[in-house]
Amino acid sequence: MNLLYLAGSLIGVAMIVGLNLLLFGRAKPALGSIQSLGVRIAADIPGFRAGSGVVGNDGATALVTDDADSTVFLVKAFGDRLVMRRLSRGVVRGVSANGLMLSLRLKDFTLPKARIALESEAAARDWEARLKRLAA
Amino acid sequence: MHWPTPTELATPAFIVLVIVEMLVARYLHRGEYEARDTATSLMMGFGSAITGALFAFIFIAFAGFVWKFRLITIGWSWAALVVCFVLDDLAYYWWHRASHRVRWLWADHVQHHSSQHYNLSTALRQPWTGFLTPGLVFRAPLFLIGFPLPMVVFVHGVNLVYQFWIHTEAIDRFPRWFETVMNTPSHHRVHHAVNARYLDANYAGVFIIWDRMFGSFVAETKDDPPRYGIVGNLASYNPLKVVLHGWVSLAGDLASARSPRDAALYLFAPPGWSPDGSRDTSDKIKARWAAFRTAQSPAE
Repeated sequence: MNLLYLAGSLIGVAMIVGLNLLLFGRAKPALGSIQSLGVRIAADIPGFRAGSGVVGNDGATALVTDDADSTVFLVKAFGDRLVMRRLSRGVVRGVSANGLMLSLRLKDFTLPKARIALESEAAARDWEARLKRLAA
Repeated sequence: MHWPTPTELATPAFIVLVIVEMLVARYLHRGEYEARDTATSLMMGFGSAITGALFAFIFIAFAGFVWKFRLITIGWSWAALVVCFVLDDLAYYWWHRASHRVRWLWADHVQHHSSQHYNLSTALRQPWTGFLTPGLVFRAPLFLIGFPLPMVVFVHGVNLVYQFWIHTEAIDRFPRWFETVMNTPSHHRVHHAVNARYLDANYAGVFIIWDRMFGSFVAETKDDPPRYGIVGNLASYNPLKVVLHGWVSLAGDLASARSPRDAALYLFAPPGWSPDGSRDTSDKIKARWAAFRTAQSPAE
């Protein structure tokens, strides 16, 4: 391995990523409805049935509750895919609501923070109260 | 004898094939690409080549030490090369199986599985931290038998080149005889899937017969298309976070271990093990899925 090989590799990487952007564009995050998210979560968690939930105003972050045991899942758009976290005790480090914005701090190396803009201040305060129980 | 480096020789072909697969995905809708995911995978491959070269001396020293205790001295011949290739693939199978079932090894190998996409760029998403694991002991038997280091390195390179092309959704299935003997895109899609039925399956490198022999083979089924990634997918495209996340998680658990036994189990038990059983291992996920299926269709 020499510097020429490394430089060539980096140029190759840049070209392929550029071609990828040209052919496919940049993924637009969109989570869809709570019901469709419920179907997606149920694929990973057998028996999951979406109960109450809320998709943020940007369509990229959502909170979905399991109808069976009220477990709350955070779902976040990630490129053209999504990531999902079960918000259990020990995972949630802090929750705060400021106006429409609900902010979460998580014990998670790649998802330490999540912000979700809700449609009303009352909704943000309601979710803050529900999630604070997990952070206690 | 000078042995070529198969992965370096194949690099131009890798680039061409990624571009071809991208065009197939775009215009024939067979496969999916996302630019940031692709960038992460390719940079992981780049970094892996560098760390591999920097820490190769560990493998060379280990191989040289073990080779002193060899049973016989094996010279160059086509027969020796073929036998070495097959035995190296068997060693790869057990290393790979252990890498999914032992947290210490998983902390490194998880980097390869961290993409939610499955395409040829995913093949290049290689770990950077193999030198932090005891993975090289799986090759010790080859040196103890007496295969020389350059031959082992060469056949392993060929093995890795073979594994490149099976990371694709563009190819469905091959004729039955080929699918029976060889690792194929269909078998390896199963390996990268997080669907409960597919977890911890198809560890083969080149020959899928190892999975059939050792009970880890699962066939891909049309009614359960693979979903790729890991249990608890990453929310970052940053290659450094991809590299570190498994190690940060393991270090946190080791730091919080309440006894040497717990620490040892955090290192050697399957990923997801915890002292209170509150986390999910793949065995628990599969058992829960099987129980759910049984409850849904008790007549089956």
